[in-house]
Amino acid sequence: MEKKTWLIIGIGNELAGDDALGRQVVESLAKKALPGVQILSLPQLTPEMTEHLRCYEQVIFVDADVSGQEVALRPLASEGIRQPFSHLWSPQAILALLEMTTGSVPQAWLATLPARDLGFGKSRNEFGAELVAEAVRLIEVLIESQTATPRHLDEATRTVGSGTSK
Amino acid sequence: MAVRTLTINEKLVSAPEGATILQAARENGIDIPTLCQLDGLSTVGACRLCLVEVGPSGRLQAACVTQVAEEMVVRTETPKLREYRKMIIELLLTERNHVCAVCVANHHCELQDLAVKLGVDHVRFEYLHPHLAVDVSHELFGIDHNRCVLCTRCVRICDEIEGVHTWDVSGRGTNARIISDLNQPWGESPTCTSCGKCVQACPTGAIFRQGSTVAEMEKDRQRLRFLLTAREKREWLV
Amino acid sequence: MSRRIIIDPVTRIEGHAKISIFLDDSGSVADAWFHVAEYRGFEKFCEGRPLAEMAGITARVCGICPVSHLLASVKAADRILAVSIPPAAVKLRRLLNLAQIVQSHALSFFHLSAPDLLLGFDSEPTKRNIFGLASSDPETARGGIRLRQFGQEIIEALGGQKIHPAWVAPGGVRGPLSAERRTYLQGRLPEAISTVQRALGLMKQLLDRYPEETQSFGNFPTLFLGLVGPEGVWEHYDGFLRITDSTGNIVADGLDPARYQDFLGEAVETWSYLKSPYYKPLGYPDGIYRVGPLARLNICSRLDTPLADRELSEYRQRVGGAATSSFYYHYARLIEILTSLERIGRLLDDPDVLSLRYRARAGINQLEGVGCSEAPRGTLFHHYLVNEDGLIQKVNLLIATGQNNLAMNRTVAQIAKHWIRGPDIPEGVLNRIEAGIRAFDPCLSCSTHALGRMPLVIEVRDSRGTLLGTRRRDATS
Repeated sequence: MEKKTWLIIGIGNELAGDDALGRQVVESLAKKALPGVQILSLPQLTPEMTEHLRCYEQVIFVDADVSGQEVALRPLASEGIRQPFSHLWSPQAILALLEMTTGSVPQAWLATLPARDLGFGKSRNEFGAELVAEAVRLIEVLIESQTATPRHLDEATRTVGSGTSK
Repeated sequence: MAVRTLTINEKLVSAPEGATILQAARENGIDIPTLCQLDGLSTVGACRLCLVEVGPSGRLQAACVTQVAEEMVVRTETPKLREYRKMIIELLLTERNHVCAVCVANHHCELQDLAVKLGVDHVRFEYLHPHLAVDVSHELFGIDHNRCVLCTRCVRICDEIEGVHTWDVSGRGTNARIISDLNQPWGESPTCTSCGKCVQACPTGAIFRQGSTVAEMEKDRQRLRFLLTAREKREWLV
Repeated sequence: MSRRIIIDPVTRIEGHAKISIFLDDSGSVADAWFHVAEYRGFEKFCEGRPLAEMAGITARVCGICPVSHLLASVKAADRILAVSIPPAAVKLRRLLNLAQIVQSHALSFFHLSAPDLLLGFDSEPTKRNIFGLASSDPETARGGIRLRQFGQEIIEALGGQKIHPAWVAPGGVRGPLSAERRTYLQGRLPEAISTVQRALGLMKQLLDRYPEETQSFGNFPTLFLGLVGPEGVWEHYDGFLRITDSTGNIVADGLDPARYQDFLGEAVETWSYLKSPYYKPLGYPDGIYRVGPLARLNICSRLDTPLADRELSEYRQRVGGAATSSFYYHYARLIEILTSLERIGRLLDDPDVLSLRYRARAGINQLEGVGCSEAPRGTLFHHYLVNEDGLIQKVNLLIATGQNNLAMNRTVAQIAKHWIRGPDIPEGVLNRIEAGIRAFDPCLSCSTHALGRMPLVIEVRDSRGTLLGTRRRDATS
């Protein structure tokens, strides 16, 4: 099977305050229509998602994080996940399941945006737009770094580090 | 025709004498949310969603019924107006029983669209949960008072366009209800011509086609515009 | 001293529940209750709604099998409209229901039950989940995920969305299948069939590995109830009800589902919101019966698809005619996936599924209607009374899991009696009690119309009801 290049998945509940920030990021990226980039905006991950992931070489999960202080983008590994039955599937758990069932995983990153309020309703974060813009910028730099010339790579790795599949 | 010059949102605009602020704003690409207003029908200023601030003191006026005046200063987007509009939608939602997920007009509802557009992501007031009837005695159509916002579009389209005045309003305040003729079941109405104009005019799922299932009740609100153009200009533009 | 043990919450079932186990003075298990402690009130708040809206409303009973409620609801509505729906609509509805059976059974077997079965009931609890399964048998785990996805894709292709498709309507359906989606689905079919055949191979090995579980997991005589088609062929959408006993004899046949109240009673116990239906001629609680995969395979003459019929004859040899142990629900579920897939293949090949004549229109012509179909978990009844304008006056929903209520209680008691010795209860025994319930794949949100999470705790009480100790397991721990 010929693999497509990038999959970017925004995860969150659009009516749980800052939980929606990850989805705002991918919706913003969708408007840019970057070549070779597929966008998914989802309320939550399900085991069936592994079947989408395996069609891509690189995947970026974008999620809100209550413990985070700033926008971050880091490589994601699948190891060490033992999740009991639950309706909540983390990106790591999906990767672990994919690796166990197919033996390989795409290069993966997790972009997180600091969440302050997960209360009922839309995000009222006054810095929301800035956070989303920052995450979009980091993701664009990462995609460019993985596809561009070494000159760009230097800059990109300083900013976000390089991804790894393991 | 005399022309009036006024300012809307710091922008100098002109409008013919007798035009409303709403018309002047729309002519100039300025969007003001509306619910009870429907092009081609008389205006009643019932829903108050089109409130704007007029003059230096920011007096609240309904844009759909306020005529433009020379050197008038109008603001359509202020924090106060946004808050009031949101509150109006919330109050509409609490007054009756609107359950979008299982409504025939889900995804095709002006109230729902306005709630989304105005950022109504939750309701801060207590729901009244009134016990309201559904009248499906008419052979073709039904009216569910749970979903009615009392915009009176049905009353006006029936009276002004179809000319039979089957619909009217009885009661006051939260007891107000849309009624057919002398408050009898719609199916027994001696005046209703079953033309279906009220179905298309209704902004929500309150008036619907019989047998509609969830989200199936799509409405064509352009039908009224077509009808008026056909009557007034003898042009049948489809 | 008599003791009462409560397991709370039961994990890996849809919805949540609680189990009380009563010990007698000698410390042996005297009785067990499977409580369902929440209430939703669908039957009440549907009153006054127009008939056409009922499918959309009752589908919200459950996010796992909304399709089953859609079908039972529109079938009740068809009766009230007094229409015979277009052949294309029947085929499309059948396709939808089969897809629902595939995705729900795949979830039950591969995601929820396979970890116990393939890794062992006493295996490390932290590994007894889909990850443990994926690391020990990746092919089965992945096949299961893809099989469920296939069922969901069919539902999505028909209804436009995976979970609450508002696509089925009184009188038929709201649109045909597109030729493009049909071709895609046809291409996915062979892999789905090989996945379930592989799982069946594993299942047969497991039966030899778990003789004790097979004997103690709800192994007792009951009646079995379900729909059958002409000549007693396995049925999921239409047909008549058949009831057989534990030896396979037909007790009643050709029963009109519309007259279910003539032969099915609904008992209410104070300790559960889940009602306990029973077969009236035998009274309560002797009229205990089971529904679902186990019952459907027991009552049918054949499945009428070649691969699944071969599996059915082997199944009947292995279980000794009629299956009486609830442990065989798993095995039966896999065979039902196979016949469903074969039937899906047949329907996809039928040109009618692309037909544009798919909905009959009619007014209110009857004031009462019963819709009956086979949900993945068993026979489902929707019973509506309307006024002359078609507004709902009364609703009765008789749900699959409810009909298994008596059998689930008895299963819990049997497992407890077999495995519990004295006051200390090892984790593996707790897990077996849960697994005994899980064999029925109960859907508690449906059967009680219950809302939210119900924890399951083990409580120990003496004969006066005094709490001696609690053992609690969090649903997500």
